[in-house]
Amino acid sequence: MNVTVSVFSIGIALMVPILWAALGEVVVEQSGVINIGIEGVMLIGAFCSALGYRYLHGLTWGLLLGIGGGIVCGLVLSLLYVRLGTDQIVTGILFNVLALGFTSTLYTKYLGGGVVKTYGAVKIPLLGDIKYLGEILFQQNVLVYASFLAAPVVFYLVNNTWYGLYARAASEHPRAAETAGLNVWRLRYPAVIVGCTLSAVGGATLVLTTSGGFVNGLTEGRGFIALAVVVLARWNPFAVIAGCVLFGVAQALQFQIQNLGPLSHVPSDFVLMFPYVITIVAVVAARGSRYPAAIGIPYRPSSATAA
Amino acid sequence: MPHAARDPGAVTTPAGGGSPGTIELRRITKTFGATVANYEVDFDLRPGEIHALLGENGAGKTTLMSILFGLVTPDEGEILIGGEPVVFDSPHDALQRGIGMVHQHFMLVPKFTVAENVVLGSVSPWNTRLRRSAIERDVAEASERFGMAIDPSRRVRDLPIDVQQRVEILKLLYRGATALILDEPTSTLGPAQIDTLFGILRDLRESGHAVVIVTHKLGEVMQIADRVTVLKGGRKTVTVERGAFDEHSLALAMTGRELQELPPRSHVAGDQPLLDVRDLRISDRRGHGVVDGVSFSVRAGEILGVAGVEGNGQRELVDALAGILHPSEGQVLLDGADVTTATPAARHDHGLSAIPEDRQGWGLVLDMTIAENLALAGVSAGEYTRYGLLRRRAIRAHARTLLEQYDVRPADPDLRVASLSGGNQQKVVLARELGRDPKVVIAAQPTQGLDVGAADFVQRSLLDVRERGGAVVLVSNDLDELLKLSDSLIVLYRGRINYQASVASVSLSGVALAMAGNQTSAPVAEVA
Amino acid sequence: MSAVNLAFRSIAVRHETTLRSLAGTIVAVALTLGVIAAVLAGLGANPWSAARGLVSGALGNRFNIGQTVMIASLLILTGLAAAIPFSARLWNIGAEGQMYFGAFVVAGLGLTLPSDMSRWLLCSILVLASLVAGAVWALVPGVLKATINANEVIVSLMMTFIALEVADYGITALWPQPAAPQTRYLPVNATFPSIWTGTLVTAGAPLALAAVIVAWVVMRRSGLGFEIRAIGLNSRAAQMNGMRVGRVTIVAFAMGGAFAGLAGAINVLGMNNALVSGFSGNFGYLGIAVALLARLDPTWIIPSAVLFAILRVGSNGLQVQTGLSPDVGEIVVATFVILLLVFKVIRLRYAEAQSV
Repeated sequence: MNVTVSVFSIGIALMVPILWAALGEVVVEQSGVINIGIEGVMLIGAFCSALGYRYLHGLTWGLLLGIGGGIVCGLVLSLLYVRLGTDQIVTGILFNVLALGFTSTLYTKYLGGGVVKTYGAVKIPLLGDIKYLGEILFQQNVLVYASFLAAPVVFYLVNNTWYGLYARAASEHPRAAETAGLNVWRLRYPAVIVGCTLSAVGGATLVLTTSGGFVNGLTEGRGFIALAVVVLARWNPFAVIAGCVLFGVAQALQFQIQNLGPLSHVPSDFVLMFPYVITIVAVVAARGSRYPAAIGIPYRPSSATAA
Repeated sequence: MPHAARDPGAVTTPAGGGSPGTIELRRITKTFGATVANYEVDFDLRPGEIHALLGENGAGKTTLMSILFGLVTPDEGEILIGGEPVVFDSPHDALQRGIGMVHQHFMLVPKFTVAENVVLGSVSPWNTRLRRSAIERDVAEASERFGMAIDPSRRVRDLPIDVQQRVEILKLLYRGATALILDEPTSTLGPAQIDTLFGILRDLRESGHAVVIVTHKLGEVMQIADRVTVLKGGRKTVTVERGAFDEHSLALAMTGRELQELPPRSHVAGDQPLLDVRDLRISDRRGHGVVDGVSFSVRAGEILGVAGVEGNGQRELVDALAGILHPSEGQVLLDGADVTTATPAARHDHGLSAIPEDRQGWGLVLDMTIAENLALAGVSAGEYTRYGLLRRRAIRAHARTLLEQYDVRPADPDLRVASLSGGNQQKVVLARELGRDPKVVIAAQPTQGLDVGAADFVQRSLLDVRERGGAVVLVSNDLDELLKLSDSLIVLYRGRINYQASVASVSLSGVALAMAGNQTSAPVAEVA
Repeated sequence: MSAVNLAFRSIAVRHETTLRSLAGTIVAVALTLGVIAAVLAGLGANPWSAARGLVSGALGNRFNIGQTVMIASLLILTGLAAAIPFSARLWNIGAEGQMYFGAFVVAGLGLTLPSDMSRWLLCSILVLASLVAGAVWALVPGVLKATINANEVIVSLMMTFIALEVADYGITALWPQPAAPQTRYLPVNATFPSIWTGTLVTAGAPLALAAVIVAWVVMRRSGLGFEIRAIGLNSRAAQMNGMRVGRVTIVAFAMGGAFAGLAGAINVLGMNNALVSGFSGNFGYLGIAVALLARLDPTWIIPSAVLFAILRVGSNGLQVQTGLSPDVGEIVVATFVILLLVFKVIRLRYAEAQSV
């Protein structure tokens, strides 16, 4: 089998969790909120989907529970970030600790190392037969296809809807949005909730497709990689997708390393480092980050503000 | 809309149940913490009038209008439209009733286009399809209808300030506003643009709109207002109709005292330039010349005023002089020493002090104490440290001296600067910057937002620097202030000096024209 | 307004925040206890026996107290590793990685340097090496932030994951100990002496205290600390007054990294006597919580670290009593700190424009 093709094929499968998370983060950030807790949300989504599979028997239930977990995270985080206005970076970090604690605690009690049967690959007729490309793109599992559909929907939402315009105004100049008659909080709540749900689906994808099970700390930084992708891509949809593909392929290389001749002598630890090193390189190459003007700052509507 | 009948000589008293569409604020009271911003203020607005709301900085004008616009809820009092009470929970409610506000600092998203800014908030967010071409068409048509030709596809950040202001006005008209509140609309405009603005306001009045212009400038009130309401210390002193007021009575109502003259100055200018700027060029990210070949020099004992409409390079010029920005070409010499690329700390060593435009953003660390703020520059220069450790007693002693000298109240060095009033905060900045007895002072909008007393103090301090043989570069949007304080004047337009003259021989029309972009044929007098 | 009136007002203003913080803390504590009781009940454990298990696990006997002391030492250092950069509004999230790297370097040197050197000398060298190693690891996010304004959250996090792999490499490939997820044991001369018989408390504990003193002197009494705080509160004003933001950024990160590296040394030299895989139970991240609870103040970091150590060490006792995973402690600490944020007991101010 052509090594390159299989690397890319696996790469696509591996990048999907990150893509979901990145899409979720795009939705959140376009309203002016930064969610460092994305890692925790992914973890909870993963955990809930494992729970769902185990106790409700079936992949669909797993997915649904994962989505449910994401919604709950979204509600909690929107309360903290938007309504209570706590520092977003710090709250996000603490949320990750909290999520890890919760899932680890509940894992030993309720899951204890069960294995999940994963979604099988579904070949799309006709498209799947295209040489090379077909194998890479169109012989994947359902959640991968779902992400292909989700991506354009998200970008359409952000750029071509009234909601997207208003939310972006809230991320650049929330006071301007308020004086134009908009309610900044009410623009941000749905963004955080939907964003967390998408990120949780990313976690569920991890359990239900690639990993086939839940272990403590399953996400291993994927949420942060998604965060990096969104920052560096500056919300350009193509850049976001490209970034995710890059990481997926980087991870896929780990598995194929022995087939790549000279690189097969590299110790496995260094290969595992690769995605993280790539992230740093990408950050440097993008020369810093350029966020929307008012992102990450909790917004206090005027009537609630003392002079 | 019908014009309300006007009796030229009468002083208006608010009566119940005005004509349909009259907006009334009755007995509005609002307190923020320990400060009473408004106390039982009455204000009414009729269709087809331009009503000026006059008062010093800090008199409560913006608060009152924020209440009318729904940004702030009053503690007591009510709002009536056409005689019926209404409650505004947010600007959304006010906009629904046809009331709109243009803020002093524009509420425009710089990255967005004109069209996107104008339609912001105009339809429900759940209205899904947004087509760029459709909204641009709508906005183009609206701008035509209201007589303001603006290209809807341009990004707001690329537009000059006065055009941005028109976008703000168009935004309100597009939403069907019949009453427009403008908060200090002329603070960043030059004389020519002010005339254009007033023309627009007069047109609005003719078509039946009601306009409130919030201002602290007497001259403008005289020029444009049909009625004036004066606020002082949160209370209304008087409302008068056109013809029943003049500058002196208004000044009295505003401040409670006559305008005070500044002390006479002796001519002390030396020969040597303390500050020498040669062919300075600064480019922005896209390579445009924001400052495009500026040269001037300031001698000892001289104040150079820099006039110009905001956005013509003043800010970048100040930043370059202060050391925050590096010019791409040119030289800055401080008493002979080349400081073109020197750090702010090095410039301090050479005797430069800068009073920044945004004292809370650039000048002060609000959450630190007064003493710490006063020591801010000294610490990094190593003045207050021994073997790396802070000399705290020295810091506090120094603070106490400065606090007394500059009459900062309350004079407690351990108080957080955030708890001081705007005027006292500026005094802290002055104390720190002028307290080190600098040779050259760069002052950017130093009296912005200050009440008359504090502004006076600042101006006297700058004159003091001059008396002591220092050089001052004063950048200000307030032409009156510039003319009052400067020895010579330059006008910046599109990054270049468009006009220069000594104040003794300055021509006001020349200045006005220069600010609007027309270059006079030759400068009236050379400046050093 | 009379002078007395003014003075009164200023005192009230100054203490108003303290009083409000106190009230907020009490509410937060109460709520956290409530949440935990609910969680425990939900998991089928008796809250009282859980509490008893926790306290006895942490403080029940001399040995346990010793464990608490050592874990507190680690948390003090990771707390400082977060607190110092945070004071400059620099998010050093990578203390975990800086600690692992410090541990890696120390283990490697300890196993390769001649072991017949005097114990004092060898340990001193190793301690210094850990400071340098931690600082170097933190310089990656630090320098990138200072030069190109790279997002330090992302970079420091990535460095952590990389450090984990580096440590793993040391354990599996460089200095492996057969049949155990750790390196070979270090020679005696390369370990800290025990200072409290009957416990596992070693010289690492006083080292942590020394670190606090150094941190306090720097943050509260030195020009550098002043600059760090000013930059954290308003970097533009700081810059305009001559402070070199880039330089302070690098120094702050280096200091933070050094403290975290020292934590790694304490673990390797003073607790496990080897580099053990996964020796850190998220101490790096907990350090952030420790720092926040202490409001970034070095003096308060000690009681804050002790509190978290009690929760962590006690969780083992909790496991014995209730059969629950020790990770329950994480839930407690994270909830508590989040609640403190909510009730504004911990406030992080920004250089935010005041409202119009």
